[in-house]
Amino acid sequence: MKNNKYAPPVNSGKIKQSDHVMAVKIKTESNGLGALKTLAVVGLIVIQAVVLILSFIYFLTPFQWYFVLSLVLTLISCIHVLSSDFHGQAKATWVLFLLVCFSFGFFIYLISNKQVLFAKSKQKYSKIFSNSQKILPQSDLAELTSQDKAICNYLYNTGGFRANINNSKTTYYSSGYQFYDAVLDEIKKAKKFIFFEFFIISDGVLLNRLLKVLKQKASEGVDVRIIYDDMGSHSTLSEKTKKQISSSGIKLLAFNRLVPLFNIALNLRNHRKIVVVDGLVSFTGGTNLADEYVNEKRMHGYWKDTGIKIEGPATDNLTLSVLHQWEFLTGKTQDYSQFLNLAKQVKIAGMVVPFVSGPNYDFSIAQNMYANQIGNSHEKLWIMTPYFIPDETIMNLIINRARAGVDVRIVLPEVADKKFVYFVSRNNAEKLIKYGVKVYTMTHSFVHAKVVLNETSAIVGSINFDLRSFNQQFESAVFTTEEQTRKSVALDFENTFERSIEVIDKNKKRNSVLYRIIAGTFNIISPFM
Amino acid sequence: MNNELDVLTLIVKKEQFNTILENYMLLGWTLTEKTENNRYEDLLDVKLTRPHKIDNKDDLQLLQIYMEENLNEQAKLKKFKHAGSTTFSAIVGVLGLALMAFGILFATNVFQIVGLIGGIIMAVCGLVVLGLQGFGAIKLFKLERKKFETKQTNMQEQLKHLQKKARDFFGGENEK
Repeated sequence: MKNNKYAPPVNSGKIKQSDHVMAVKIKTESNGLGALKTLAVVGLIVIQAVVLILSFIYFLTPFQWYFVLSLVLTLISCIHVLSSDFHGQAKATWVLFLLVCFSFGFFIYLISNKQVLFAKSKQKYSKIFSNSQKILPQSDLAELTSQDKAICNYLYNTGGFRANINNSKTTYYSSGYQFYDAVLDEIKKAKKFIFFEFFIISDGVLLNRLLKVLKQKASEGVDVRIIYDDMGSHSTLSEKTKKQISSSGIKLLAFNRLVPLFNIALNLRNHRKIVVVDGLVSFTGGTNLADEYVNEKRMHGYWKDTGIKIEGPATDNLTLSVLHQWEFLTGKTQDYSQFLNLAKQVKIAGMVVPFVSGPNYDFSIAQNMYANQIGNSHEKLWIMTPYFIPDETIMNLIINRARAGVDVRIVLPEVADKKFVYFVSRNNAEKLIKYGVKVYTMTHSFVHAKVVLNETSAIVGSINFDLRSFNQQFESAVFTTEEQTRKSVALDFENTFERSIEVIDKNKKRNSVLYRIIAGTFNIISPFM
Repeated sequence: MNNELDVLTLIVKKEQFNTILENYMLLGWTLTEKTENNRYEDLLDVKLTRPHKIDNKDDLQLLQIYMEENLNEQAKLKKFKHAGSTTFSAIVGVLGLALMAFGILFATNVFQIVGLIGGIIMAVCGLVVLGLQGFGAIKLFKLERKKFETKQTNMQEQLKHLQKKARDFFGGENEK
């Protein structure tokens, strides 16, 4: 972790005075290389675009047929976009992009379109689902209110996610540190199987701490499986660690490999965070498996994250979703019954429905569950999210709730991880202030938590309030009405409000014209963010 | 696991080592290693440890960030205490000197009455600008010092408040 800036100089002898102003610096603190990387990537894209345009002009005369062909393909692509199930803003952005970059835009559309490249995978998922999606019978919903019944029916009918009523317990964790200590405690007790499914897995203190236990468990004959996203874990999970994991008897699989011959659109990433232990206990939340999520490494100030533990039969929903992913990746059918219906009932009042979403389902479950949560709020609607880039539907729903007198509050980070995305997020949130929405930014912190709370229920998981989470990524979350969990979530929100600054008219970033121009410009490409 | 330690590696300014260490100790950290930085003479490499399982860890982690931000902000404030007056002095000083030099050059090289008068006026203007520079710089310097003192007092108050919070978490035990 040693920063090169502090390495000995090539010539012997020390430099008297360092050039940095700070009194203290954590060795893992961000050194601004992220911005350089972004600049390098933007630079390369610009060079590519210039080369493409110049080649196009150069070849225009001898290759007039290409000009005609690209126009035809652009037209076909535009028609495809307009007839697709994209939401309004995404359609407009794509059409604009295709028209501006008509010489090559259709190609980019082709390689990033889930309907084109994902079609085969979707078929594969459909086959897996047809065999096992409704393997868990729905619970008796007779005692539920009509509102809860509707949510349960929606989740079961769209994804086969069983509602677990008065039989499962959830425990909320208000930080990554608490979350992973609970995970460690549970995996130490494992006897049959441990499943991990994560977007980012990174070499470091946390992974070492977990691997120590996982290797031990694998050597004891426990079936340990890990799925990681190849893009999310790219450059964070070293080949050495991968080899080490595989050689210790742990089964390790990459999701959507970064290879030239891909069969899933590259932008469809597995953003889920799931741990399942013996089918008795499971976890999900916002925390990836990397040091910054537990504040062992400093990236963007204090890292605020959350997670949730599920005990009881509700665990089966997440077990089943990991098994589906495993079957998709290995292509091997497996006997699910040995992994399901293992948990004993935990007598506790309330409903727990763990669910997952992704492009493998016919509906945007993540977006619809957030829409339900917003629509069903009558007293309060508290949202914690790192990114706030919803579409018009969600924005209008939030505005309507605020206008109806619901206490709507949104917590965003004060420190940005991706500056462009933060520009748009903050701009979107600030637009809502005039309708009565309270916007907070947690001081010196990066809020990575994804929690939506209303007066009757909470959703805790990996779903950001953005279009990528809603439409392109594989996500996981838990919907719960349990009173104790709601209280814990509410307490965490109250603590976070205390540690935040409320954005009011005076300190709005939107007060700057330049900010509005930049945010507005980036908003055009927000469907891709 | 219960005996496991969290490790924190820092690079600190030598002159502020004691103040910084004192703050970290309030947060439950213990000094385990202190070495000279390989590259810079004014820096120290410091290693601290703390039990992994500790009460109010989330609050302490957040408090730590606030303290670090505060210490760094104070250092930044000190370093750029007179940035405004220095910049002002440099720019206006160069302008005044340039005017004087051009004025003298003009008066001595253009052998006409207009050149002579113009040159003298320019030189006098340069002198006035230099005078203004001196006057402005002193004013700005005082203003900056006042601003710095107020800001620093506020930041020190904030730091004391943070330290008190840290003490409250440990019931004073972390000061031993």
